[in-house]
Amino acid sequence: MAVRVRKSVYALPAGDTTLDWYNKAVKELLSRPIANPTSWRYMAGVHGARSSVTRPTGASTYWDKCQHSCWYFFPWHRGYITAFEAVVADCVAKLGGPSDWALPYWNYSEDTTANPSARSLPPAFVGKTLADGSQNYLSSIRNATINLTDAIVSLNALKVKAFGGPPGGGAAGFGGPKTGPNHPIGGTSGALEDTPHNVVHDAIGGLMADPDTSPLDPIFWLHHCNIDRLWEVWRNQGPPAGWKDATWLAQTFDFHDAAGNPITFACSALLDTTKIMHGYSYDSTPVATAMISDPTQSSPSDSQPTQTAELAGANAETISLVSDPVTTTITLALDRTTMSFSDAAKTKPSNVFLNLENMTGSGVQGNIQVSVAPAASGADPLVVGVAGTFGIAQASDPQGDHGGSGMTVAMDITDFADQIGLSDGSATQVSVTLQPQPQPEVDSSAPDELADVTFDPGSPSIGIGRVSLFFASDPDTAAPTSTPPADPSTLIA
Amino acid sequence: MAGLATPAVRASFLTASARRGLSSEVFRWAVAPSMVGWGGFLLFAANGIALQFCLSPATGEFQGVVSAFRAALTGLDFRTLGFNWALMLVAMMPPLLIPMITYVSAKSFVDRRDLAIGLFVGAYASVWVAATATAVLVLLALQTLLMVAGLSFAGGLVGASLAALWQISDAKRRALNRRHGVKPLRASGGAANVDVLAFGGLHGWRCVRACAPTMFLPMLGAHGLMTMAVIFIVLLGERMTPRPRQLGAAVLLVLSGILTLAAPHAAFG
Repeated sequence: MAVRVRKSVYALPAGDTTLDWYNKAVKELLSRPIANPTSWRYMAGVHGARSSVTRPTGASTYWDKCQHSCWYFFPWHRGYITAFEAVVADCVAKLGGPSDWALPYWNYSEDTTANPSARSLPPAFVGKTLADGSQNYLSSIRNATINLTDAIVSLNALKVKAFGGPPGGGAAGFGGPKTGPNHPIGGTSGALEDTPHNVVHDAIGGLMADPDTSPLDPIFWLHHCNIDRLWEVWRNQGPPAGWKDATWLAQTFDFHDAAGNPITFACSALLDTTKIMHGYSYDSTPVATAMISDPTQSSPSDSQPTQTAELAGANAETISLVSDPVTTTITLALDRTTMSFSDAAKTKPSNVFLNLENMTGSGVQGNIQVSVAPAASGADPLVVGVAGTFGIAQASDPQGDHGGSGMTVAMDITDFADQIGLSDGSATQVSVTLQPQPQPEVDSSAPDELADVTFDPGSPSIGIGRVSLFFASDPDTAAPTSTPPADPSTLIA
Repeated sequence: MAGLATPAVRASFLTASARRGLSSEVFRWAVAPSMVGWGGFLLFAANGIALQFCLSPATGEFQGVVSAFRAALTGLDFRTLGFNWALMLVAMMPPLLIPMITYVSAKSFVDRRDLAIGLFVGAYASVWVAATATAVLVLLALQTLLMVAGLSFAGGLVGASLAALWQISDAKRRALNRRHGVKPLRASGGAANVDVLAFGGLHGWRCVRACAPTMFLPMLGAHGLMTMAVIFIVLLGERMTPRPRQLGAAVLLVLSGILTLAAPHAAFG
């Protein structure tokens, strides 16, 4: 049987029934009892669930397992959405739908001249009822009129060559810090996990803004399908040799298949998408360049797949953000690093990361716009990106898995190094302005079956422990790719 | 700025990864000290020198528990006890600090990483020294009670069982979670030193809360390398495993306690 093809939701042809069947399947899966591993609520609980939800018997192996802020973010979510896809496809087939149903993806980063609607929710997900007056099971508690900004859908992360970031933070790596499995969010997230993943979650708001409720929203799965596709885009650019190691390849994760039977994936089995369960591919990813010949094999033992990072400067005070912008000053100490853009005797940084460290808060907090400028220069601040707070409550819980340390965003600002004086070493201070974005207005149009799931974002308040600047260098033993990575914007069809 | 770089290990027969590992702060501050500690214990064992962490409650006729405790206290060999406990802390605790050493290193300027880690470890160790001194007195009191009750022979099992109960408690789980907490660290000047000292002290206190019962209670009875190895495996396992399942650790502790009933002290030394 041919593998299923995951298509762009906005490229589905007129009359295509993919979303109609998804709608019917959601209704059916919502009707299944929570103890059924193929029910909507059970599958959501695998990602995470509020403490008020009674865990089904035997669910401890499967529930509350989403991997974030570590380099297992991509493989765990790949296994998760593929197992989900198998359940939905089985349901669709039993309801009389097509036998090759596949999850579509939402490419919100698409060029808006080609698709002016790309930044908005696909229309099928908006509105409590369908044209025939029946309930729309693709609606949810969320901002239904969303118009994502370019900063939120930025694919700058694809420029980060290293997959694993340093375990202690500072740099993000494309895939997250090289640590053990990590649930829930806490610590430093990978570059793509931050943007667009986290910030899209926050911008959609409602159930999507909380890791313990987000998979209850049907758009979650299209969002993560796109994130999974972007992992393929990054890999096909030609990842550095040794981007993964034997420990990563051997790590396993537990899910259920369409029949509700346990299934275990090792990361090594999650690299070839055509061989995972039913197998799938995407309608649009760039042709692979300089791929490792056998993706199931570990890199040589002498490889060093993580970035290294060094502190280049930090501010001196903690920050409390409510609604007004706050500006803080990073005092640079470029002579105290072993990396420099301008000193030939030092290693040239591959990336510059602005870190918002130990961000804490309760409830749902939304995104923060981040701007930088050379301090006291009078220059207009440059907007360098958006920092997400998806999962901040779980990361800040003193009784939680991370002891209340909060989360850290490591934002790649390499493209701005010239403008803030890092490249020529002239900068002594950098001012950073943090502007909390207003919480999106949410539309409570979730299906009646989810009436018990409410949303209360709480009061806006974010603490930031330190704002710092890190220089990072790519793995020093990485083999150069045969072709330099193309501009990411040209890779996204 | 070669002076800023981490001291490099240049042995050509080693792979690049191995050289990087041996040059790292984690090796200098965690792995190497632990190896020294365990090497010391193995050396003692090879030479038939029994480990002394407590306490030999005084024997004989006493007018109640208090006088027995006083007699035991005056009989303590502080020099031997201090040396053995210090060696035990050096062997066991540094590997538990690897994530925090990595964190402190990453958040510090390259040229002050060793200073920052040193201050952090120093503050952490100070808390443990104070906790150990307290634990010695508590253990001595408990041993005296057991002796007066005629249950000295069961000290190992009682201690290991109490440690096992602690291991599977909610309080232990909460303490372990709290121990994962980190603090933001200022980067420069005296403030940076203050922050790493405070963080070391705080982490030491959190670590004592999470680990002290597991570490000290099994010492109520006969103990030696086996007891220490069991404690080390339990502590390291729970440090390195997200959401550790503690039932296995509890069973291991109880088994080690049962073995203390069957085997003479020398067998563990």
